[in-house]
Amino acid sequence: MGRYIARRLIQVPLVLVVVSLMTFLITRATPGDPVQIMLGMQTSKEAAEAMRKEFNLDRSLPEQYVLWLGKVVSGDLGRSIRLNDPVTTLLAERLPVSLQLAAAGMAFALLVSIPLGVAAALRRNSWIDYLCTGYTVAGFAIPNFGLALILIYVFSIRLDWLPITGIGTAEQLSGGVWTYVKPFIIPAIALGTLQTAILTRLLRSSMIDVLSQDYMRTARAKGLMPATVVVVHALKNAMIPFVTMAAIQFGYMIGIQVTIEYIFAVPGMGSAVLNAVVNRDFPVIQGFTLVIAAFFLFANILADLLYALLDPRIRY
Amino acid sequence: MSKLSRSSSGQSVTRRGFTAGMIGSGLILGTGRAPALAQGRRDLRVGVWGGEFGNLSPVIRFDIQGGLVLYNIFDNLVEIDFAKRSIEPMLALEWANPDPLTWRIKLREGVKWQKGFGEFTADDVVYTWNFHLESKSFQVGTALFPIDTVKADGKHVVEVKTKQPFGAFPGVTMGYGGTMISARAHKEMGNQAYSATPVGNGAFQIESKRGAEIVLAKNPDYWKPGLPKMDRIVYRAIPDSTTRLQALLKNELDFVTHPDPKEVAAVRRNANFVVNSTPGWAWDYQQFNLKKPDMPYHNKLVRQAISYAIDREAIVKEIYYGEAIATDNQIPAGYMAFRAPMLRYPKNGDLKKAKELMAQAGVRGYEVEVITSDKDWLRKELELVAAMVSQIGITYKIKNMDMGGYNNLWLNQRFDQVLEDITLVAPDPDATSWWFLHSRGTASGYNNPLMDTLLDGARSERDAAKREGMYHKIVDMTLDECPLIYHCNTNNIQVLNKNLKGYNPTPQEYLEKLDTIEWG
Repeated sequence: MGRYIARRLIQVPLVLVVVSLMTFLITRATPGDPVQIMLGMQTSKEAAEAMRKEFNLDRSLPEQYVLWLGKVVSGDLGRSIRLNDPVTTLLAERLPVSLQLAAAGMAFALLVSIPLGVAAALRRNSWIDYLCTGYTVAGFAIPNFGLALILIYVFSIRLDWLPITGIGTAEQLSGGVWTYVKPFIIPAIALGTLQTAILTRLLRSSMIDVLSQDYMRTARAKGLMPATVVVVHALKNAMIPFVTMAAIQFGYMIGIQVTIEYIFAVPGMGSAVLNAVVNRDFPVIQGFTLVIAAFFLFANILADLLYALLDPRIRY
Repeated sequence: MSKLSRSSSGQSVTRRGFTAGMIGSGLILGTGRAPALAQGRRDLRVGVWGGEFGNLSPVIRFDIQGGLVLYNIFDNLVEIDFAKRSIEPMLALEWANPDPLTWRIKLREGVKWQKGFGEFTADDVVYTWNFHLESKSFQVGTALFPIDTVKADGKHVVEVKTKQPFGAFPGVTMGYGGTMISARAHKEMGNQAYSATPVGNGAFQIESKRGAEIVLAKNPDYWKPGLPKMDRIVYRAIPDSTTRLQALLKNELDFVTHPDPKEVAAVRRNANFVVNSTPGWAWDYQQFNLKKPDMPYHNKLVRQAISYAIDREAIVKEIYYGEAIATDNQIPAGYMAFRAPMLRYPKNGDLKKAKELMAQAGVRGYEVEVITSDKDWLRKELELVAAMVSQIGITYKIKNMDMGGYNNLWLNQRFDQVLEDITLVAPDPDATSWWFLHSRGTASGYNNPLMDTLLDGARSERDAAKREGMYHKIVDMTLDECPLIYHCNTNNIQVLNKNLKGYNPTPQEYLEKLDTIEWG
């Protein structure tokens, strides 16, 4: 196990170098000059040249990349061309928000998908199974921004139960638990519904598969309580692919928050990357992409480790 | 000179986001709740557009949403009296132009920098302008280009030598370029830290900046007695206009800027909120690449025909829902030399005249690529304009691009035609004319020696009455030559809780001072 973890961890920087190189090349190949965007048309050539020099944009592409990579190794991700803030500062502000939103979305997905998936598997072809199927189809079909608007209309506008905005505000951070939690509820549901559908369907099929195994018949024959059979013998085994998928989806959710962030005014990573792409803010694009890629990689490693923990047959 | 591109403000809207907004606006509007109780409140929650505020230092380029905050932290040397159309003293008490190349500025005494950084003096002005010049900042090309040298003459007098006579010095250099930084604070904090938490001399000082939220607190040492009225302002950058407006209607906010014009009519019907819609210092306009002599539009008769073919009132009505004013020229109301929004071309267009001009030009019809950015309103406007010019045989092949790609083509003159919008930042006709029409300033390649002479002459003339006459000539020539075709001045709109009093609406979208606003 230790050697496996070490091998996987050694791969991480290599993958990140490849990701960063590709990001670097794509940003440079895309038409658009961040200095022009920043300064507009009514500026002097000297001002543009000074800014290019400041951000090393006057150097050759290989030089730019090597300089950037060298700083990254020392923990410096550069400075935003548009915002003038260090990328690490932006990350420090936005990464926790994105992680919290992704965690909230995943919490919603787990809370719904585990009971629903289990119930649907245990009661195949019953109304609960049809409900599960209908929910997963709807979850796949409804885009998160559309669902977000429906939820806003119902829970914020009509019922006035939940706020539309508020994540990351001083008011939220200085209030009590409910003040802190409530702005997350609608965005988390809108963000997590697709993952709920994915996980519910996966758990249902996995449970059905496990329930048909011989050892399940043995467990029941031993006279174990039905709940014990389901939770200890069936669910634990069915959770193996589920946990793997949940970990991967968590990494994925960090990167797909952008529309939710836009609608709910969440100051997370997605909206920062979107603005950076629009404004060709190279340091932010590169820095944030690197961090998102790192999260995805670590989520995958975590999934593999959980896989081994849940299934003793698996050895690395 | 003197524009802030409304594009680079983080306001860009994805197609998905736009769809969401469209659906949302249909679902949501008209459901505002009763405003929060006003008694005893001394705080204000403001929703502004954009995803983040970015830099807040006046010596580094800032976005519009950053400007909205920055101009409540800093006071300027001068301020604009929008009602009187005049430049009024603020931190500069008086100024004189003893000879064509010298400006002497007398500063207000007793103004303090926030957070104990001492008194505002002439040394701060010298430091700020020299910092701009030495760092070749964004304002050198727009406002500070005339400055040759600047020096302090005592503690409260600044003497500026200009490279050339510059009649627009009070409005442009002291106006747009007149936001000073504290020399001591800037040196101690460094440029980077100062841009995040600047030390100003305005009504409010920065308390915190985190993500998309900035909190300002009352400056206890503010030089204007009795101001500001509020103890605290919380600014939140909310990119989606529907979310921003709905947060106001749900009392999560008290004041919002830049609502979507299509949603304004519904809010007007809600008695709990007040809509300020002020004809703004912002244009929508078409621009031609005149460095392409083979293009049919190189003939000015064709450009005139296009201008006649445009129904500007329809643009105002269909795209801006009435929250704009049709215009055919570059001088908006409130500027020196303003005469009227429409001077030559009919508001509703004149197709007959347009067709006559096309015939006179010998052009039967042609195709041309017209680019615009991914701003929703410009995309729709361009589709409408394309339908209008199709009636005189011109086919606009529309190309919508994201801001980076669009700017790449536009600023490098790799386009045929563009539709663009712009916010004007300096209250002087030089700002609305020189950069757009001078052969050394324009992105359109317009090169007319007579126009250059007029522009340079108006720029260096110090007599206001003479300048006004010169700008009338410049406008008349622009209307005849049509290197740019203006469509409308879009309104600057805010929606606020009806219990808020004392706010003075302005036509300038980033210059919204909140020192006089209070709960009534």
